[in-house]
Amino acid sequence: MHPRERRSTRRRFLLSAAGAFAAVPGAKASLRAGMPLARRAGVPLGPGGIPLARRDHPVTLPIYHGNEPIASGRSPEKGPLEVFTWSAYINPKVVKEFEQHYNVKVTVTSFENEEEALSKLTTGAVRFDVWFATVEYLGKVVAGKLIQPLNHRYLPNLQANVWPSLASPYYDVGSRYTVPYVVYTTGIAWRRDKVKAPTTFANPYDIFWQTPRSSGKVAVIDDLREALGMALLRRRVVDVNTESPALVNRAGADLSQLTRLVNVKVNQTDYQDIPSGATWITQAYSGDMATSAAYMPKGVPVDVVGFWRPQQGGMIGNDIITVLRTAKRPVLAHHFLNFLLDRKHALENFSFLGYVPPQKSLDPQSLIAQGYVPKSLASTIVREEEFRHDRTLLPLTIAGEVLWQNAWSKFKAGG
Amino acid sequence: MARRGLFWPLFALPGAVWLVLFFLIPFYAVLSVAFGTVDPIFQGPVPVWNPFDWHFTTMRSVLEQLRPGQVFWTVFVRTFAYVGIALAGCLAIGYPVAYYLARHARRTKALLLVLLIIPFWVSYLMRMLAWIGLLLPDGLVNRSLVDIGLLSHPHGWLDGQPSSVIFALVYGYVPYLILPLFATLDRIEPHLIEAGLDLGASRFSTFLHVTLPLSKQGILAGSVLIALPMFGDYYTNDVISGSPGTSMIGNQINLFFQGGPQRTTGAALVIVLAVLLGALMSYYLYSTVRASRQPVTA
Amino acid sequence: MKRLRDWWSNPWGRPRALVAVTWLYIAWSIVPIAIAILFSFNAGKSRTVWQGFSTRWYWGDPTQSVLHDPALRSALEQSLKLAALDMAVSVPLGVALALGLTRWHGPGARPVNVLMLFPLVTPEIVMAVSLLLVFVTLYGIQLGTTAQLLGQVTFSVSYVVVIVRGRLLSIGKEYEEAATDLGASRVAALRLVLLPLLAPAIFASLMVVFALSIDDFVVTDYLSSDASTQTVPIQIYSSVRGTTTPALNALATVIVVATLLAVAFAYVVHRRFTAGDEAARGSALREIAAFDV
Repeated sequence: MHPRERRSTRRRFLLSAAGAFAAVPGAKASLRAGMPLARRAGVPLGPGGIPLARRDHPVTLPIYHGNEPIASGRSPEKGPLEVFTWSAYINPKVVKEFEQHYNVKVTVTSFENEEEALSKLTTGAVRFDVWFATVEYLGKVVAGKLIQPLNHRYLPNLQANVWPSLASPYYDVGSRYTVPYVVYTTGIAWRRDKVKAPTTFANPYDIFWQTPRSSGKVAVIDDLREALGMALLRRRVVDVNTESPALVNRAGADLSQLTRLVNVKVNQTDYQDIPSGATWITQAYSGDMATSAAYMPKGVPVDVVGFWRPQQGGMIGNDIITVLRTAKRPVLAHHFLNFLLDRKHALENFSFLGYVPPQKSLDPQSLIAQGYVPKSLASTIVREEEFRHDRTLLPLTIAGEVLWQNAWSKFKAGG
Repeated sequence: MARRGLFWPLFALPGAVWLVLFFLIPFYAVLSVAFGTVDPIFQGPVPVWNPFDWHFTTMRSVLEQLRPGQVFWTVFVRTFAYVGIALAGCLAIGYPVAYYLARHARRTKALLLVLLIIPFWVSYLMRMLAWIGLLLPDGLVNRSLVDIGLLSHPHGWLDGQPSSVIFALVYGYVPYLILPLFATLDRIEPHLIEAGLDLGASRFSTFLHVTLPLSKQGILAGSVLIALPMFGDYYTNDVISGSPGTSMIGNQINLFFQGGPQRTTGAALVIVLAVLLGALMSYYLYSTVRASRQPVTA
Repeated sequence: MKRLRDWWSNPWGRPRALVAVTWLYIAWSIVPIAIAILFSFNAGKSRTVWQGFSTRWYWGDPTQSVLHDPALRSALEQSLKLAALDMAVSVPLGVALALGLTRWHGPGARPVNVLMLFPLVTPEIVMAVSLLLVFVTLYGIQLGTTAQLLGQVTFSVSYVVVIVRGRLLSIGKEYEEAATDLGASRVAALRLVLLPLLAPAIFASLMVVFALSIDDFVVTDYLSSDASTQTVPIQIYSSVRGTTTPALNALATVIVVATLLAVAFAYVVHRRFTAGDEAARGSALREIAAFDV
């Protein structure tokens, strides 16, 4: 199985609003603690009382009493280091190198989706040191005191190697709780040998709605934020985190129209279906398409696969790595984060995942020249400046989550 | 004397406790979640165990969406249609087969029984896997149909066709119908049918007036037995279609439980489904309990 | 039409149409499975185009075969592990419950009797959701193998009861009573007389539970935690629509063969146990067959 095959299943929940099954002990207290932050005018509150991070409303996450960063100058604990991450989302070779370098054992436990991970973590019976999380949940997990603030003394690679915009991102000003892992964009993948390119349409997103004789060959990603977000972008709605019922419901209705027009499929198998020809037009993640070559049937050249995203205003995002509050080896965990931010290890991970790590020293030209990505799929490589004018799916208020989910449920009901 | 009275109940105790702990109370938990609240940060369901404190907002909104034209109505109607057609298909295939096996097969009876039992023991998803392999664009079905000229180009069987979903449901569930039907038909005393024939009735009229009424119980029980799991099925749809156009009620429940802040809505849908199926279930249980009181004759 | 009528009205003719329907049905139900099994031996990567015979998807391929792909292998191990645990728990539990329910006629017997039948007819998604909710909100049971086992036992135990009770009713009370009349204690009568008589039913139960556990998707999936608790059906469900290799067919084939062998073995043993017992022997096949859902 290709290492990244699971990437897609985990995406299912990556952005969906979700929660733990069990009530979080102290949830009410942290809600109160977060209150003062909420007073800033015009900024809606997310779950847990932390303001919703937006690019024009950067959020400095609160550090709560009793949940402070570890002291500097400590030496790493003896292992084993316990890492909790998505299935097949880290190169085993990198893990092995860490083990050898620190002479410890690392156990990697995988989860299939973020929600499952959250539910396990909040019931408190599982203990891990490092957790791979998402920006969309950050407010919740900080307010719920699931993760601990970071001590940057242990993370020199963050400032040295990482894109400046992600070394102190707007969703976590000063990187108090997180470091970035990989970046991705969401665009349209299509088969050049079967259908016309998105750019031949006045509105490229219309490729989904207006390609003739494409019934059964069109797919959107099985992720409510991504799919509805695409429908919003098609209608030139700039705010993909809108909580306007009219806009969200119209996006849902537009998707329902796709069901009637082309019997749209909703799945997570973009990276296989485009190469195999099961799908001709699909919403797709950049990293999924970057590795198309591995899935092409014999005799079909990889350049029949196209990946399009707008010059400006497309969908973009990144994953994050955190240290859990209950970590038993917090110092070693910091070292692990730093290790992943090292250029060499980041590149090893990239070759395994297909998703670009936000490293200053990796430039698109060299990635293509070195054969990591086929030239025809250069558009799958994400550059830092794209974050400036692209859209990112960010946390919603609880009411917003309900609104989006209901629109999605209606679409999924085939109504 | 007391020991004597407790001897057998003690045997039943562990099993009874198990069923209370892992069947009865869990079902109550669904009620408590559907009528409960959620925690403020993670929106995980917080069940309310005391029925006097229950909140009915979620259930009310689910019921509102069950009105004609609303989202759950669409799904329920589709589900009933698919299950109904699939059930008819299962009976149309299953009854003649069971009938032949019970009434006419002689030398081949044991062999036939074994052959009928095989799919029964092959995992459901394996059988779906088998058909997906055949129905792929370059699968055997398309290639054969194109070769013999019935199709000009491969048909997208797996591209969200309701017919494919119903076909898969029939294929998946018919083995579970044939065996109970066979058991019923096999129990009918041959001399009853011979009597009918001896009295000059045609084979058809004997079937209509003797065999069919005598097998009514088996038909109903078998139908309920396969209809119930079909109503909760979402995986057949997921693997055969994957398009919202064929979404069934199970898919909606699954959707709410897999993500998002509205597990309470999922729980409410489960209750609605359970209530709707309650009639079917009670009927089946009633007939089973009645049958189990009669000693089994081989 | 005329011929059809003639055929229907002729009570002595061979029911050719029925023969045709039956054999067509059998072909329709078995041939696809046989083809899927065949493709597990494909030398190439395709699940649809035959490229020669090979065992690479079983063990030959160093990364993608059932033996060497960690995901497939762990799914197989988890499936077998759960099946073994399920058999170990639900058979004793079910046999005891069947004994209790058949011999005990107190006021509590009837409700338990009805309750026991409910898991047989409850749609799986209803059971899965209720177990999931009760485990995480009330019992605090971690999702994973333990939760999966508890769920599987809950629906397995009723099958055991139905099978064992059928046998108990056909045995009657006479043997046991004869033993107690001859001075055996009730425990001894149970151990020395009743249990040996129940052996074929217990055996059949073991096999039925094995097959139920191996086949289960919904409950096992809802109660699974991480990748290590995925079973074969979950693996099939999550990857069947993608471009998977014949290794998936190989994985499914292993399970099919294991189940059919288990059932065949159970049948043979059942025949052996009930040799000379005409009534039981005649129903052997049916007894093993008729209680799956």
